[in-house]
Amino acid sequence: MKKIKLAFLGVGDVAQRDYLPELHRLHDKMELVAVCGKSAGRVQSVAEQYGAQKWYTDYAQMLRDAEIDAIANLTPIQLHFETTRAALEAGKHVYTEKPLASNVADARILAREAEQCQRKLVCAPCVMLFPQVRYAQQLLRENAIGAIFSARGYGHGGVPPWSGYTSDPSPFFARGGGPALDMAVYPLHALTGLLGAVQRVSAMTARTQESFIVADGPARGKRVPIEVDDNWHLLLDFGNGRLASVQANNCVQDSRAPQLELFGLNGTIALNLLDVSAPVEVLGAGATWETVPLPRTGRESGPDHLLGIEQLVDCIQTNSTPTLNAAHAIHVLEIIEKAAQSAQQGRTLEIETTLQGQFAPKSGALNCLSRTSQS
Amino acid sequence: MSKILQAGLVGCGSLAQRGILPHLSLLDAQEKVQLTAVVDAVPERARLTAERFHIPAHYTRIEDLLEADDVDIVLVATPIPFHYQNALAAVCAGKHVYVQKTMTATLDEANALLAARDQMGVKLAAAPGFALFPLVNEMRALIQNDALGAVYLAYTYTIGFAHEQETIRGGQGALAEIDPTWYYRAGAGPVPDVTVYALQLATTILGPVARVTSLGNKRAPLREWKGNSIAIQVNDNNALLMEFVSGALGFAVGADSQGSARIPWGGLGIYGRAGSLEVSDVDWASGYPLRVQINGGVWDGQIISFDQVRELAYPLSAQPYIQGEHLKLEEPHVYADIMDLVDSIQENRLPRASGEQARHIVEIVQKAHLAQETGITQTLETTF
Repeated sequence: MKKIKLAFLGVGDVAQRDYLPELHRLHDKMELVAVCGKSAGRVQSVAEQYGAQKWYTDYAQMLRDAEIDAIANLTPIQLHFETTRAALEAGKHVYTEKPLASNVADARILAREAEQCQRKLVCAPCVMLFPQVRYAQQLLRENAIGAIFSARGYGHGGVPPWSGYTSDPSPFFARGGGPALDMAVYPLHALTGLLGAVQRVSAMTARTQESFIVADGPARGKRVPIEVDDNWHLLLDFGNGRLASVQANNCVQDSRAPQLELFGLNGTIALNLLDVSAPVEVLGAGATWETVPLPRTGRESGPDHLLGIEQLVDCIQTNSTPTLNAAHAIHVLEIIEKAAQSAQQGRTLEIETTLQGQFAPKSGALNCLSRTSQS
Repeated sequence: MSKILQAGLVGCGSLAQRGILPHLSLLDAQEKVQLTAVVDAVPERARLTAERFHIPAHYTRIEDLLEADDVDIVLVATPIPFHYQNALAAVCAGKHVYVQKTMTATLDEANALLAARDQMGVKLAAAPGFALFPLVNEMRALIQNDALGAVYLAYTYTIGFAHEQETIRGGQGALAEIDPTWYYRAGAGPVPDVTVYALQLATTILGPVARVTSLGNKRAPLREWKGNSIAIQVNDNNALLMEFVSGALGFAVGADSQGSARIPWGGLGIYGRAGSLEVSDVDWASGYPLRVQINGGVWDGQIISFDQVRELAYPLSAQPYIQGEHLKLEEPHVYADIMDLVDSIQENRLPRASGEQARHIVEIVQKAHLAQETGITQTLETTF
């Protein structure tokens, strides 16, 4: 099969931390042909390090390159809409980092564009492909903990300044960004992927500080205004006697609580959404917690974002429909958008978009390794 | 030596049989307070209770108890919808009062009850008094002294809303055939019944709440007790989202659950800019947190890395009233609240389970239900 020619649009912190070092895994089905970034120095060194023949600082110029089949869009949140749109219009398939766009209206334009251009549009986050989420999905399918009636999800953004962050963090705190679009998307994608569409949302948000000063990296010393509330708390009604709460913030140090907990009538499933090496904890009928390690399916630890790019490559090669699709991303975006409105207006709001059953678990279930009981 | 106070118990249901009566039958309790009368709407239950626990008088109406005028204290342990009328009658008769949670069904009732208390100059204790357990006070002091930096996030949950399955209700006779239907009727439900513990604990440590919103639905619309099915009127699955006056956001869940991987039933997680504090062990019988884990935070003026863990732990016996045989009985916190009221009368001080905090909780519960019905986030008017 012909190798897909991929270009990276954006070579900042997430590209260098989570994507580029893992790219070798897809070596037999794709090649990195070009990279584009804001700083010529950085983009050139990335091109050299990862063997891309071409590098650009102007993405419009890169998109004119007929050699490129697909784009991995790893730009700051506020640029997602404009750049993804341009890539689709240039006839490229697109994998986009989350969120698809900063609002539902823009996201819908992109979904329509992809359909009209008959291009694949794969939307991060790919948590539904993480082994622990797949295992949870399998447990739900087996009815291992009874009917789910409650759930709790957490998206941890960390208190700025983020030590060790290698790019300018400003976009995460600027209009169109914020902890819900950046971090609540993980539990929201997992919850809606596992439980289905949300029907209603009620939320509160708060701003705990107005600005901060970057401590290291290229933007060291810069004062970054916090333009979006940095503490979000959502209540979600999934209908059929199921509720969930989701928090995302940039104002607390950390939490040792699991990032996702699913409460069923006969037990609880607890899992990590940002580390594929973390075991799943299951409280079953025996009333003791079991720690279930999962087989390594890709990256050794941390979030395995590359699974999203792999899906794009696979979908192009086999001309199949991605499960990490725009409909799911739009549903999550609507939840976040309505949560912001709910917090502002002090009202519970209905969610209009729905989901089809696109997350029906694949056959060939994930085999857990040995289960160990925890006293 | 102070005189031994006399008390009358109103409501001889599950809590009274399992908790209040066994505790007050023990010698150390009787050196301070003696039950001289019990009241229950079911005559046979009132009679059998008096007989079983050697109590001189039994009535079916609180009016008869108050008319006899031989008690100093009235303990109100009826179903929640009857707390108000019984507590108010006792206060107006000049009696000191202990009221089970939740103190009243509405804020108006709570206001009227506290006004009557002040007018009559009596003492009122309203369950549950978490401030009676030393670890709770230590947690509050840590937060107030900024040991976690500014606190912005908290969560807590409670479970166990399946009263129809309590063992005691499975037996025969008036002492066991205690109808649980009222739990599922309007004015009751899991929020005033069990979430109240989470709300009381959270507000004891984090202070009062400014706004509340809530979602609720029905997880198990049909319940069964002794072959009869109960169609529930209240939502048995609830989630409350609160903005504390301090600015922190927090949520409480009230439903049946098998448990969390991190925060045990009735526990609390508190998250600040510098660190976190999570309850890691809760005494099942009392709901008191027995152990907390602190990650990071500020210690002796130094910010500590999140990976550094400190623990605080207290046994249940750290509560001075819960000693000896009391440690083995159910509902020891109820006993502690009652004994604190007794001592507050002897020492002429305020009881620690305050009516003002209970009123604030009543308002949170009422406004959470209102938010569920109207879809409008509610602003609270009370504080404590």
